[in-house]
Amino acid sequence: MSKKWINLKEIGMLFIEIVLIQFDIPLLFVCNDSIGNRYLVLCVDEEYGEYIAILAGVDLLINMLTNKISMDMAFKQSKDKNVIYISYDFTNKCFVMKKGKSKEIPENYLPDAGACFEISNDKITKYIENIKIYSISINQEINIYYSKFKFEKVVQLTVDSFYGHIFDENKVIKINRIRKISQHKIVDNIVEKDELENELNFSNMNNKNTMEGCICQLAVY
Amino acid sequence: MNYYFMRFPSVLKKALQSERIIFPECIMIKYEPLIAYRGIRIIPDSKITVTKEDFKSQVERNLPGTNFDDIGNYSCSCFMDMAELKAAFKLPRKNKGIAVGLIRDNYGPYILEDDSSHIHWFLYDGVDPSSDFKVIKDE
Repeated sequence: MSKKWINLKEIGMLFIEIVLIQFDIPLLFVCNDSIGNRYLVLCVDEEYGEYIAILAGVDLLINMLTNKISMDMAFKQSKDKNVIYISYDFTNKCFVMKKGKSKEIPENYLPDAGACFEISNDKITKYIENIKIYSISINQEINIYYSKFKFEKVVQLTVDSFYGHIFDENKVIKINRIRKISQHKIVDNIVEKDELENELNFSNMNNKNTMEGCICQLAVY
Repeated sequence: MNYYFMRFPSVLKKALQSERIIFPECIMIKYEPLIAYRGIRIIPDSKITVTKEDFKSQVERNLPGTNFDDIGNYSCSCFMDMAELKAAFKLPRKNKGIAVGLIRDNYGPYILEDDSSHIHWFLYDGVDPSSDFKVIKDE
């Protein structure tokens, strides 16, 4: 399940998708915002709440996790060529951010030059497999499982376009948005076709009553 | 169970009693000692040994950005595979060290994270496991 991390005025709430390197606290991790962007985040100083973050595409993450590019290079190759400097404002008790150019990140804010990720375990392997689903193509049939959702149901959908990701290796739970559905089959009537076609937004169901046990997220546009 | 919660530090005890967080069923309360590695802060020429402070949770340290609804933030993170900790030495925060030692049930229960060697160790109030740990790597 994604966990809340921090709220930034410009971006909104960030959720931790996976912790890649943990020491006494998480040092390198991936976050999501509410519209499905991924950020690779690095702790620079936890006592002062200093972090850097870059907008990270799936390819960049996979290349870093499979040691095709070094960690410092990953931060320099931000999707939008920017870096976000995050710090804690102890006066106002909130996190603040400012943007810079990813190619100009100071060396002391980056992982060692040329150092690769090099951690290999089931957690990382499954994460790589899961984020690959991001690139699913048009009209592929997908199964959306509502296990542990409000009801125990399975919905099969064929969508005209799909943009999404799974946060965990298990069942897909959360639908953020469905733009168009060409076919659907609902096993056990929990969601009416009309509701789905009306771009029903399930994101507001992310609370303890309806999302208990939620372990994955899928966004369909 | 409420009686059991009384054994934990105040902040964890309150979170458990209010059900802000819930121990999962897989939590290990009675177990044989485990060898584990813990990332600690080393300060050359002043702090080069393991102390009780090295086992404080993120919540106890009250670090900026700590999510008080995340059970993992109430634990002391340890690893069974040192390689997962060593990766942190490539990252910018300096003065890191690795201590190896024994996780014992008299210090507190633990949860082993799925698919990795990450252990969430929930220490009882007042315990000090530092005598069971020693520094093996620093920078």
